[in-house]
Amino acid sequence: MLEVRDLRKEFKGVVAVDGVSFRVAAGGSLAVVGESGSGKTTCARIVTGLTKATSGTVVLNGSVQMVFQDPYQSLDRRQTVRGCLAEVLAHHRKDRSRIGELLDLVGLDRALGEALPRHLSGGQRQRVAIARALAAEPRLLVLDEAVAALDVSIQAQILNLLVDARAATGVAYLFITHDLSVVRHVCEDVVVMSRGRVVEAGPVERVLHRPDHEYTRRLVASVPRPGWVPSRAVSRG
Amino acid sequence: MRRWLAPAVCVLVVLVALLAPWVAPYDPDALDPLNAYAPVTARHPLGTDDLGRDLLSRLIHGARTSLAGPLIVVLAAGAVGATVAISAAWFGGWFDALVSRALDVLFAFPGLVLAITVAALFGSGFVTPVVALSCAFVPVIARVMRAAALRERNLPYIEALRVQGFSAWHICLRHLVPNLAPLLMVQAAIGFGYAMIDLASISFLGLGLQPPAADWGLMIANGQPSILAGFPQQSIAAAVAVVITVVAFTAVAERLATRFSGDVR
Repeated sequence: MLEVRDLRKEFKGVVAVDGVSFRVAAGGSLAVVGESGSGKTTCARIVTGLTKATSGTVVLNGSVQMVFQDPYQSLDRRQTVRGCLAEVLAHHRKDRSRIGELLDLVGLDRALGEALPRHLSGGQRQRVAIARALAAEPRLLVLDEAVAALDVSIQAQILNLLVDARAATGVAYLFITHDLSVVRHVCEDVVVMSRGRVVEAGPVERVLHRPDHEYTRRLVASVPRPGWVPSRAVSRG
Repeated sequence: MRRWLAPAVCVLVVLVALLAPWVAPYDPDALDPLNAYAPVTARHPLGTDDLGRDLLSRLIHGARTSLAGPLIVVLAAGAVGATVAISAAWFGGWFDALVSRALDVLFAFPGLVLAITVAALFGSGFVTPVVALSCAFVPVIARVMRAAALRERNLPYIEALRVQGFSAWHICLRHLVPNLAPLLMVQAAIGFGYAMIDLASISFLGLGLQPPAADWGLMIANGQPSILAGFPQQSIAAAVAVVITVVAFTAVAERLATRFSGDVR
C-alpha cells in the first residue's frame, strides 16, 4: 500500500535520510523507531508530502493523513471541535452528519463539539486531531510521535484508541516514535533507524526480543522495565 | 485611571464626529466679524476666532477630517501591510528576503518627512497627505505582521491543514488572517494615534487641508496670530482635542494588545 524505496534527503549538505526503504501493507502497522535526529520524522514528512525528498521513490495507493506530536498547536485555536471536523468533511465532500460518528470513534463526548482547543486537555486535543485525520477516510495514517507529548496514563488511552480505530476503519499506520514500549502496543512491524539509515527491520516480536543489530540492542536496553539498571544501558552506550 | 475612561472618550469623539451637524451649536463657517475674539460665554463655550466663527462648532466639525484621515491611513496601510506580510511569510525563501529588505529600506525613511515631501510636490489637501502617509505606514505594520505571520505559519496546525489538502488561499484567508486579525487591530489602533499626530503636523505646516476647512491641525496653525493678540483659545482647544484623542486611542490599543498577547496559545 505504501512502498518507500531508497529515500534520501539532504538539508544543505547534511544527510538526514540515507537510502531508507520500507513498506506498509494495506491495514498494516509499521513503527519507525530511533533517537532524535535519526531521520524518522523526515521520512514521515516525505511520505505526507510536507518535505521533498532529494532522491528516492514513494509509492502510495490511496490518501494519507497525519497526526502531529504537539496537540497544543496542531489545532486552530479559533476553531471549535465541530468547526474543525466540519471544515475537513466539507473539503473531502463527506457528509457533515459524520461528525458525531467521528467523535464516537475517538471516544470524545459529543457535548465537547462546541469546545475550543483551549478548553480541552492534551489527550482530548489529540483525539480531535485523530478524528480530523480520520475524517478524510485515509488509507494510511502517519503518526509522528503522536503520544510523546502526553502523560503516560493518557498515552495508554490514546494507544488503545488507535488500536480500536484501526480495527474499525482498516486504516494503516506509519507510527513514528522514539518510545519502544509504545511500539509493542500498536504495531506489527518495526524499522529501526540510526543516523539516517535503517539498521534493522522485521516483526516487532522478533526485533524487540532478539535484536540483531547492536544499536537496536542498546535501544531495547534503555527502556525502563522491572529489574532494569540504568547504568547498564549507559555503559553500553 | 478608570477602565472605562479611554474607551468612553474614543466613543464620544467618534459620535461627535459622526453627529457634528446636529451637535454643533453653530455653522462652523459662519462669519461674524463684529463678534471676533468673543470670550468664553454661555453663547460661545470656547469663544470665537479672529473671524467671529464659533470655536466649539469648528472643533466639533474638525473632528470629522481629523478622525477620517488617520482612519483611512490605518485601514489602507493595514490591508496592504497585512497582505505583504502574509505573502512573505507564506512563500518564504527569496520572496520573503526581498520583501524584508524592501521593508527595511522603506522603514529607514521617516514617514512624516515622506508625507510632507509628497504633499509639497503633489499639492496640499486631504487626499495627498493621507495617501502618502498610508504608504509610509505600510512598512511599519508589515514588519510587525510579518514576524507574527511567520510564527503562525510555522505552527503545526498549518501543516495539518496542508496535509488535509487545503489550498494556500483557503489556509491564509480562513486560518492565518483570522488568527492574525487581533494583532492587526492592535497595530491599526496604535497607528491611528501616530497618523493623527502626523496629519495634524502636516495640516499645521499648511500642506494638508486649506482654510477655511475646520481641521484640528489647521486650527492650531491658524490660531497662532491670535495667540499674539492675547486669544490663545483656538490653538489650545484644537491641541487639547488632538492630545486627548491620541491618548485615548493609544490607551485602548495597548489594552487590546495586553488582552490578545495572552491569547496566542
